Amino acid sequence: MIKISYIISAIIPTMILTVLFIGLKEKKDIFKLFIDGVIKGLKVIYNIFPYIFAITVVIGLIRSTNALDILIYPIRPILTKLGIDENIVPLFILRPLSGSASTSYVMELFKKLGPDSNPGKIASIIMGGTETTIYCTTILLGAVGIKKARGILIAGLMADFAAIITAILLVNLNIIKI
Amino acid sequence: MSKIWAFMMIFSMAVAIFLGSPGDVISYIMEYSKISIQNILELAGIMCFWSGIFNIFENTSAVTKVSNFFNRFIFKIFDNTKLSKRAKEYMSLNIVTNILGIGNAATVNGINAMREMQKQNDKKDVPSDNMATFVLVNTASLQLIPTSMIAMRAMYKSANPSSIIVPVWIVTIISLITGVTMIKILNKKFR
Repeated sequence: MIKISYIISAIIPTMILTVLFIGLKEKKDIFKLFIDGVIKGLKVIYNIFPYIFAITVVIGLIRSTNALDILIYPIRPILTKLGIDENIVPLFILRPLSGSASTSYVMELFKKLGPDSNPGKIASIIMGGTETTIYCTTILLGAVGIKKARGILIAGLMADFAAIITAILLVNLNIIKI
Repeated sequence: MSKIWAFMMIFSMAVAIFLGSPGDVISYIMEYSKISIQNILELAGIMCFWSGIFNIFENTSAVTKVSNFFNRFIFKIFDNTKLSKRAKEYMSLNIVTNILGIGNAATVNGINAMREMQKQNDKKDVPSDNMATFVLVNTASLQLIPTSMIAMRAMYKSANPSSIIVPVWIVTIISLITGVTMIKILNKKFR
């Protein structure tokens, strides 16, 4: 187990080393190229900041005004009947929106019920197997100044829905030992 | 996107005014504005770093090799004729960094790929089919080993923190297939 985690932790430094090595081997001015890249990076940050700002504020508001709880309230009893723990439900909405909001929600869940409880397992799988669909789409489209998403959000959210159903089935039916 | 944002904004304001404490709204706004500045500062540092490193890589011949390697299978789901060489390189780097779980580097490469694809895009205010499919691939978590989640499970004393790896793969594959199939259908529908 120690060896596997060592290999995983070595991925990033190895990659950086490889890039620098290839650059030097091909006789590139790696310092100048790095600086140029940083300038490009700053421009990207400048372009995507308004989108990150808009999303962070609206997620903060929907959580702190309790609007999220009210939104979920009507579907809660249906989900409980299907055997889905109500503690996990807010995660279905937070996950596509924000990485930090969903992470802090899962931390609270772990503190309350533990990572090896049924909801804890479902939350772990959802967090590992899905991305922040809406956030990610906003940033990638925002970077090129596109505001219409066509079918992207519908398709992405349906993929998330499929992921959530799969995670619940895997845990509740106990097909694989988790 | 605009609709989702507008709905969430209006709904939270309405809840605050009619069911909650409208006086707190301004302090929430101030708090989360501050948080978003903190987030962007954190993001800015690491994104500048990766942007620098990958700028070196882009200027070497190795990037073509990576792109050629991916050409064989990944680009099957894209319309190859409309992808420039540069776009393919960025897309390959984006997929590699996603699989390795370096999210910030993936974002940098993903944005560069989007910019290259935008050059080939006929209608500049709507994403092209390739752009839509590419965003979809990015919204599925391609990360091979969910390291941060395993670390979090270990932190909260899970008996077997890494037991989620196989289920996470199953979930990723199913959501990726669903997403790509859906976007192929929807791309035809939303012209």
